[in-house]
Amino acid sequence: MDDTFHRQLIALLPRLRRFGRGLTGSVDDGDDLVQAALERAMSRSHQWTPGTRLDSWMFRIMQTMRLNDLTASRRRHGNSQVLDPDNATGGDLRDELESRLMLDHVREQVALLPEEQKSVLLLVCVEGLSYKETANTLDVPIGTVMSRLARARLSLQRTLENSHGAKVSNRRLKSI
Amino acid sequence: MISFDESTLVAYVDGELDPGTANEIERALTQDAAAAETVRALRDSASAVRRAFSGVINEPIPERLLRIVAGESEHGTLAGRRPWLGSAPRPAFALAATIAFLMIGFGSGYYFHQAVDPYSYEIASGETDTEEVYSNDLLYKALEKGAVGEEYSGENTAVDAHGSVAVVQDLRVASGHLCREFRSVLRQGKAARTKLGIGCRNRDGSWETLFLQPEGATK
Repeated sequence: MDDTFHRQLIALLPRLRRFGRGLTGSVDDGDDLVQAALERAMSRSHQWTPGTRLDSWMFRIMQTMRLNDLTASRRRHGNSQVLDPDNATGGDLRDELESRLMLDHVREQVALLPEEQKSVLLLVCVEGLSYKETANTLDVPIGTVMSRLARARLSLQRTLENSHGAKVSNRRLKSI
Repeated sequence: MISFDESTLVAYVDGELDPGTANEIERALTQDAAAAETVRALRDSASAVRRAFSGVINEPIPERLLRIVAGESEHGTLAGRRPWLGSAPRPAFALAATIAFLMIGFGSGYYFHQAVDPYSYEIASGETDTEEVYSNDLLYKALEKGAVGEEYSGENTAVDAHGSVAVVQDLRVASGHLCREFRSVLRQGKAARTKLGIGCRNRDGSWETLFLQPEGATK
């Protein structure tokens, strides 16, 4: 087997996990997707041309498998607790926690986007692919990338601005 | 005439337009509040999404994924520090060493988005990465499964480290996240340190952890 291929694949693992996490909204489901894609990639390594982008090649495999999986996928839900305001802990901790939980809320809303918007959003805004690279990876016209991307970001922003979900600022942490 | 459809504006925000068109749009935006607002929304959401996923990159890589690249099946066995015993073709030696190195440090397979810990503890000896990963394994178990007060402990004799973690109390948070306060004690040689912190369970199953001020290092 080609060592360049292995080396680049290892270096890519964090990004593949990140893409899987975004697509599935779950640590385990995301890693399951990465694992399946890696198994396929290993058996098809001869189909990858050294010197071309391995990340696009892998993202495409993951996207294809994700679409195949969707009807069979299970959703995992975390626990959620009842809302309740109470006594403050230190201000800095509260701010830090609030901003982390807000980011979790963002991830949650991304997971709820339609699949075709989600993959474009993740590839462009998180993985840093250009519009052209994204169009090639997903095998769609560049205009489609642009319109899906705009729609994803605008609906996401609207949702985040409307929701009260993760606003901890006036609420506090309470022990039960 | 410039059209202000969303596709054009998103390309403008992302720097995907040619400079000439971008300049025209930039000038026109000063006259068009609605379009300027759309540009702001496109920018803010991109930034939020980028930040929301930035933590994943720093997580340790689960062994099962490394095994696939090493040419093993998911449940390939590990004997000591040699990560491959399968019959699949072996990668060349230098690559194998890379895989082995990645696997040695990260045996836990659990995931945290960790805050940068502002309190650094000097432990007499041992490698920080190993001790923290070892502690994190227990921390994850305690947060995910532990009852309040239930202690999880373990040791890593290779670095003479012994650690324990217990959840101190459960917390309600307005956002609906499950949060738990915990205490983590790590002893290594003659040194010991205690950390108090809070963990909150993300929707995707990972835990955010934050450390509070130290409870006091003991000797």
